[in-house]
Amino acid sequence: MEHIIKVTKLTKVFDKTKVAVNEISFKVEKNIIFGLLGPNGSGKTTTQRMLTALLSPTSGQIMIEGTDYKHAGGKILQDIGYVPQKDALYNNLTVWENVDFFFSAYKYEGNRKDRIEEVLNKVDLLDNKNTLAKNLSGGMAKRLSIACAIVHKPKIIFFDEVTMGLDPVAREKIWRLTTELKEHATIVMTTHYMDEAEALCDQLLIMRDGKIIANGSPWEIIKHFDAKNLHDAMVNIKDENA
Amino acid sequence: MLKIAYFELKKLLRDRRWLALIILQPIILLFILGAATIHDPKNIKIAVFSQWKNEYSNQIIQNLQDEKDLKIEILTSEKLLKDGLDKNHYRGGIVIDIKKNESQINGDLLFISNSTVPEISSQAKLLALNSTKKTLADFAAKNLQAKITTQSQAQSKIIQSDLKSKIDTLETNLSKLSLPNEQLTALTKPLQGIEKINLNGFDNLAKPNQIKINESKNTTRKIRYFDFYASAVVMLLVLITCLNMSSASITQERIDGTFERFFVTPYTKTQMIMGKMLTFSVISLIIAFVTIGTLYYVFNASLGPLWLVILITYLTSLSAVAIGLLVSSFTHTIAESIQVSITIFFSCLILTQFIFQTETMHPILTKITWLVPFTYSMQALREVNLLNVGFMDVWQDIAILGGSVIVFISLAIVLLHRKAD
Repeated sequence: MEHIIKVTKLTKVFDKTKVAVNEISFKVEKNIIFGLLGPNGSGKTTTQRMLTALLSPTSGQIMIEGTDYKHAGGKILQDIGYVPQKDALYNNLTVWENVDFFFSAYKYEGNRKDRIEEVLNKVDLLDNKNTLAKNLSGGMAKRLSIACAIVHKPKIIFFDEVTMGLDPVAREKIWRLTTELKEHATIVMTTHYMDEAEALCDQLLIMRDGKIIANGSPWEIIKHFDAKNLHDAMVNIKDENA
Repeated sequence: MLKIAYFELKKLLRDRRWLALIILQPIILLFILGAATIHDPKNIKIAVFSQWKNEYSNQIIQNLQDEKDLKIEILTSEKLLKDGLDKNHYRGGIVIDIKKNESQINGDLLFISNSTVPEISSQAKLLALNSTKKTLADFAAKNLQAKITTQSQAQSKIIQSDLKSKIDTLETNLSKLSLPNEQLTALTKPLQGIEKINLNGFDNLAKPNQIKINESKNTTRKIRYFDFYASAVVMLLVLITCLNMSSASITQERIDGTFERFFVTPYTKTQMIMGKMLTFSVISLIIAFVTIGTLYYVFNASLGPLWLVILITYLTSLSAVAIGLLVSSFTHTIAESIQVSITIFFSCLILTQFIFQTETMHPILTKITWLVPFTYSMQALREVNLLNVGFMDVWQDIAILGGSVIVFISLAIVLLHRKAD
């Protein structure tokens, strides 16, 4: 079993007193969809931000493919793709230009034009390549956001509540796309939709108050909380929390 | 409506950074404004060169030095004086060419105004010429008094009425010298009671000394009122346009979320700042061309060599862009960016010697004006547009402007934090 992410005693303290993440340790296998779940304020977003190098850990270690984040500098970012909750696109650039902008950040040996075409085709936006980002629908903008994150063929893709606010059809498209991406990359996603986590994730990490309270497959977690489904399991966790 | 106002107020009061800026802005600006006009103009620098060294020129210089609001610098050549004026080292210059010929003092005195700072130069002219006229009047009076004493000692026969008419002539001539009444009375006092006096040569005695006071400017260009302000307006327009354009650029990315996304790529903060700088530098060049083109073709403003004016304007705009990016690197909302930019703009308005000159400023503020790159921009533009100067005369101002771009960009890179902790 090969692990792409290995986190050891990861801690984040804000303003010297507020412990957001408290000595958590976990491992993520290659080419799976890893779900990071928990109620609001549980520390999952802080954890994801540390994994994407947007925050520095107070202590602990993050290893990506055996390389320590601290010593890797910016090189590690070459292997990461990030789809934020907000679309975070350049509204006055076209679909193609947005993807091209992010493509330019990375070292990529293949043909630029071919790769952008391939990615736009994958997210079903090739016909809209000349449309300005500001003119896209919510679902299309989200797919463009994914295209920007995967254009350099990252090994790990972070999804931050990507289906938030999308209609069922658009969500379905994102789910299909996420499953396809798993073939070539590891997906680390946060979501508040339990049906989504149950349907997509191979492994789940549930956090509360900065600590891990459960780690396993959706089935194992449902069983652990003696619930009918993941939604009920999460409600049980929240009730305990309250 | 009251509910809306109530909640609006709550929202504003909870934005502490913005609130702090709103409160600090008028305080900062008032302090700067107060320090900029702390006293009437003083220490106005005037360069003086005398063609001849004699008691008269020495006395004129001495009296100029005694004028408390003037700061006199004595130079050894007329060329040094004119160069100093062109380089804006002095608010005015005085060339003294006075000597004594037999019993008469004659010659010329020339006051050269600095065309780049007409208001303070006028003040300097007023003080310098008043002092000089008084000195010249003293010479005339002393000269006359000495002669009159000699003549009275000779005690020739004379009719009182003739003497009276001569005294009247003397008084008329003395009045042309703008002497104060007390001094005039004191001068004519020895004549009272003299009954007989030899009038031979008295006409000559009563004539004022033959000294012409001339005035000129340190430029041969025909300068209109608009031209003086045109250079300053160019600097201010470019400053506000470029500052406005760049100061919210990174802040906007923070709001859109692209800032965060950008930093999950291998792009660095130096690349972000430099990329924006390059883009804005192209736009700045367009702004420089448009501003100068409008001034030249529409307003027919007096401009120096166009390439040099555009170069200074362009560097000014780059410096403004760099400051804007610096502002954007530490502000979190558009409202904050706007507040900081407005404070910077109004501070520059006061500190760049556009409205207030260093002569009215607190000494510390005077030093601060030289830390503002736009002071050099204003100075260089005025010199190039109003005087006959070239690149070699303003290269230091240009170098400082260029240096300021590097300093502000470096600061922006240092202050920009890619991480949110």
